[in-house]
Amino acid sequence: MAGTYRFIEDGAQADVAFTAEADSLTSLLEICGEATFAAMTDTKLVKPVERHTVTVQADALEDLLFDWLSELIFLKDTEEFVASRFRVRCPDKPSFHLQALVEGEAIDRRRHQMNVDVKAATYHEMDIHQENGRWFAKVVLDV
Amino acid sequence: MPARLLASDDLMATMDDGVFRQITNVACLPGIVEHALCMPDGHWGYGFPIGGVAAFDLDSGIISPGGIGFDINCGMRLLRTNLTESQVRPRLEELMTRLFEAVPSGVGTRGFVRLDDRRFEEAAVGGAPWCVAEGFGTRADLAHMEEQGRLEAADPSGLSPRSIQRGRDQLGTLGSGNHYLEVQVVRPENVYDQAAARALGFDLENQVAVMLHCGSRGFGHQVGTDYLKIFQTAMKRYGLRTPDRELACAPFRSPEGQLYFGAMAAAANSAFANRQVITHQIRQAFCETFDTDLEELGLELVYDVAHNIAKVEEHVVNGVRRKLLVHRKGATRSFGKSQADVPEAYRALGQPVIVGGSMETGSFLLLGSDDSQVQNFGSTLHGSGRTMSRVAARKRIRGDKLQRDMHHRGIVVKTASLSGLAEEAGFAYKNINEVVDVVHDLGISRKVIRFEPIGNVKG
Repeated sequence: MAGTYRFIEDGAQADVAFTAEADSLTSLLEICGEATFAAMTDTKLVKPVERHTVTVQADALEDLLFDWLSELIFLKDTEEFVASRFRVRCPDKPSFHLQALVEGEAIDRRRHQMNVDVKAATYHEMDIHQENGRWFAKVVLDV
Repeated sequence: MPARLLASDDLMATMDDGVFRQITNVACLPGIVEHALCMPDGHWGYGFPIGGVAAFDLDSGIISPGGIGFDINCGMRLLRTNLTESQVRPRLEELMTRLFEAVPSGVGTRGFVRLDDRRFEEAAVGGAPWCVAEGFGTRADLAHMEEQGRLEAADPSGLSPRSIQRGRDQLGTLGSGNHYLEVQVVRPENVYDQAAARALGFDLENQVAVMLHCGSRGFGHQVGTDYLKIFQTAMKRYGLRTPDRELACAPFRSPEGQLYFGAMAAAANSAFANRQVITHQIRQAFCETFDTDLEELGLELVYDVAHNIAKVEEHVVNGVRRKLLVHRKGATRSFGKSQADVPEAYRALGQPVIVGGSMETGSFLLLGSDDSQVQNFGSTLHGSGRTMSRVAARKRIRGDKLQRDMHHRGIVVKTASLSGLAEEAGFAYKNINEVVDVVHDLGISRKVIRFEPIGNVKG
């Protein structure tokens, strides 16, 4: 993934916020997915042995990001699954149509150090935009 | 309409700017009655601030998931035991281990109650009475809960299959974040009203109590997420605009508003059910640890209150009794003794209000007053309120050090996550004594007992 994320202190006293940047929209979505799981566990310890596919259709960038992260949170709760590798494709005409392969494994409390549970994506102070050829996002997660 | 914040000068100075902006936004929502309120534990939330209270006219007003919170009917439950600290101390470590094992906590956990989709829907609509019928708890429990543990408005027709899927396996689980299960002690110096404490069943020196803070888990969150999306589309149709997407709303009487109200009530009932199943597990763990039965141990329910909810209630506005939709987000109902929904046993006292503090500093039992009815749509605070971000708290202390420090102070902590523990350190919260004093001094709810923790299962 050609991008980075950073957890930040402002914007969500009771919750978790991060900023991310990447060289493309698909990389940005991948890195936001990784940050969401990194809030819950050390993703370096998550082996990519189980695969799930995720599809999202959205008209606006903010909705695309919100729906993508909501799908990942849904997977975490229903499959007890944490992910560490993301491959996103996202044709953007006529609307955004995200297709992703998400790789990870079932939560194993002996190997995975679990942190706080992410329960929802939010639109609170959400930002996603392109500037000088790079893509940027800010997300607050409800925990 | 105006916005009204309840706080001391010191608390007002520590409130973040977001609180002022958000409560101003709430005061501008369609159909709001009298004023938007923020309690002294208020802090920045999504849409409404945490600590936000607003009442809406049923015909011209709205309903908003941002006024309730994602964790629908997150709430507090208090049980009293017949045990004293000296009886519990020798077995505290064993007791906390059993409680930690009996009540799954942390990320992605499943409860022991196995249900298919249809049965989970029954539980969600049926609330705490469903649990009692299934053998989890007693009829006496139901008499000591807000709404007797079940909102009648619950309607599954507005629930998505995804919300059911997400909630199905989580009944009887604590969750994470600031959710906890605590074993606490009532020390004589922390009883502010002897007569009221005695009437509430606290009459032993250093009596032990159990406090629980949790909600509707993934099910409630999915209902919140679903309707945040549905309302954003519906708002265009109804010509509604809000300055914040997290304030998405729909007219209360609209089809979308009514579907959300029914789904929200089902999520609220699932939270009552969750706390009821956990209560069953707590009782089992105590019985096994002390090798005796409930008759000897007590573990009766003092009360159970919601602090993320919207309900249709009657309030007097300008001398006229009106039915209103009251949103409480990080705020607790605080009815006085004259109100019909106060349990028979507490008619001479007022409704118990359970206020959760940080795991290091203690929690409070208050009593509601008729004054809160007049001033605040029968509402008061819910906790101490954070002043520090999770990231900042984690930088300041390591979870294992905090666990050891607390152990030295006589508090046994069991946790699924040491980093999550660090995020909940006492210094990340406002001073609960100062926060509670505000509502006590204003006559909204009065102090009865402060509980000190001796054991904590941290989600």
